[in-house]
Amino acid sequence: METGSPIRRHRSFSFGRVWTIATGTLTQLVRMKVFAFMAIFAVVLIGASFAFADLKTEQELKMLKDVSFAAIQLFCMLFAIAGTAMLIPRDVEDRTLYTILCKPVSRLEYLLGKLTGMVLVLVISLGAMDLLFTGVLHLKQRTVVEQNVAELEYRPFRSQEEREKAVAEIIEVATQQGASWNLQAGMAAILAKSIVLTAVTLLVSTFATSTLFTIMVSLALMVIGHAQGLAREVLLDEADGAVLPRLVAGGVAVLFPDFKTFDVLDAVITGTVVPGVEVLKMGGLCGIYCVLYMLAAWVLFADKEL
Amino acid sequence: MSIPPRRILLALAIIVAGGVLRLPFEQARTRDLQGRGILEPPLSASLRDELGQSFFIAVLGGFRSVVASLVELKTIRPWQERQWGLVDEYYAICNKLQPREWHYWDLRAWHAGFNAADNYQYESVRSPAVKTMKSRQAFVKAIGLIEEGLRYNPKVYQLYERLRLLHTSELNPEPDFLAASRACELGAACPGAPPYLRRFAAYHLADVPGRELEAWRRLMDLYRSEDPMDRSPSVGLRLAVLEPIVSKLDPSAMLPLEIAPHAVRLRAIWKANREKARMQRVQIGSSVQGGH
Repeated sequence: METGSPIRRHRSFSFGRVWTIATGTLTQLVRMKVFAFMAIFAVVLIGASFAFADLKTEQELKMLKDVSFAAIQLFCMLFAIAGTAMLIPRDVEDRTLYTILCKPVSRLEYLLGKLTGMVLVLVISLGAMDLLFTGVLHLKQRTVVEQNVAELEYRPFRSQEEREKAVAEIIEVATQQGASWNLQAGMAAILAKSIVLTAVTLLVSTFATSTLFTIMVSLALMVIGHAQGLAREVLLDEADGAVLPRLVAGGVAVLFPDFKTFDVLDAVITGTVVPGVEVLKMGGLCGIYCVLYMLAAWVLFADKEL
Repeated sequence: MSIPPRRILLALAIIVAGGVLRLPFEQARTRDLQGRGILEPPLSASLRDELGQSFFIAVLGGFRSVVASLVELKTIRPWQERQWGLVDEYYAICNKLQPREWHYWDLRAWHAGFNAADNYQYESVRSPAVKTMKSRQAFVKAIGLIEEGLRYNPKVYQLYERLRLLHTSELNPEPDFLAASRACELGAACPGAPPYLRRFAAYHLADVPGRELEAWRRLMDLYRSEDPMDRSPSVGLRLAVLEPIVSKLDPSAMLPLEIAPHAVRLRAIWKANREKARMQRVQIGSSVQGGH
């Protein structure tokens, strides 16, 4: 007669284990007080909302969106690099890495767990910044409309029709430049770009010798990744027959990620509608990059002597 | 902490293979998004010198929009100092960075046209002929800028509105009412365009010699419209003014019954308004003659 708990067969890959490592990473990063930068973001945002009060409606709102999106993007990208760069070295330093890997946890699960944990932190921080930004932009939009309409009292109008025209114009411009669902496409683009950067940084950290090295290389990759499109143009330009530039451009185009492909922020800020299907495509591309870089990271990390 | 060389080669092979596979897809996607105005066009080589090293790096790092805004802020000082060349130079950078942001084209043309022309008029050091020439040049340039902006933003009615204002401004030594009327027509077809643009297309056409009959028909269409906004007092005023000219061309053209009794009074109002506008022009002219 059999007694006791049934023997569970060990599976070579488990999402449960990945999730456990991910939540552990989230806790680890929260304990590092990484969300403290939110306070700086709030100061930047509130400062920006008061800073450009003398400009025209469209300029004022565009400036607020510019500064806010730039701050969100900068925070997310730096956070993706700095946060990821210290994950593996920290685990080595704390000996946590050895405790995890001596258990039946594969190195791929470990890497995926770290990536997922970092993505969770990015989603939480981006969500919080998005809420704050949308709220401030909405309030600013209302204030700007009220102020501009109030100023019309001091302007002479030949007819009521002319006055109504001026009011409609103020509301139209404020609506074009104000809070809208389209702004969320910009947030999705920042998230996708940051996730790719996290995957790249994790790949670098699997062969890096120090945290500083990882940060510096990843920052360089970030800048090169934004110019990758130019390299691709050189590579695919059939009119240009020079071999060496095309060889270099080819290397850049093939090795580095194209961050420009996620740069829909300019369109979002100017009010151009980014269709939902493009956001989905961005998500798909982000997924392809993650698979590619995590596969390479796993190949490097699998047999690495720790 | 070493990695076997074959592992390094394998990782490199994965990245290269992935890169080769995604290359055509990414290129097609970039072209498509650029064509649809979702991605900005690639940076021109000259922009590096115009922007300076730090701004250029920021643009490369994906901060194009905020750099454009910062460059725009730099225009405030030269604007206050009436250095129109410098204002234009900064806005040209904004246009290169974000050609689909219509307000950069709008403000650049406003500075290049109205502000610069106004300033030339009141500058005491130039002769009247030079002032007029400079004003004309300023308006030609501003109109050219709006037309260039419209190539990137063909659906932005605000740019057509600015074009209308530039063509009809009292500061413009060579107003073109036909071009203004055409601008209003195109602007009225843009999404979100205010209904007054349709009316202005007819008003400006009424100012073009030889197009009175066409203008009359359009004004009559507006007058007969169901929309009370189309049937504004200005439409009645224009009809009353056009009637003596149009009746010679088309004997069947008659003023609507509601307007006919007020025609004489309306024409007197029109004449007074025109005289007021003429006096304003004379005032500008005398300031040109006497300096300021």
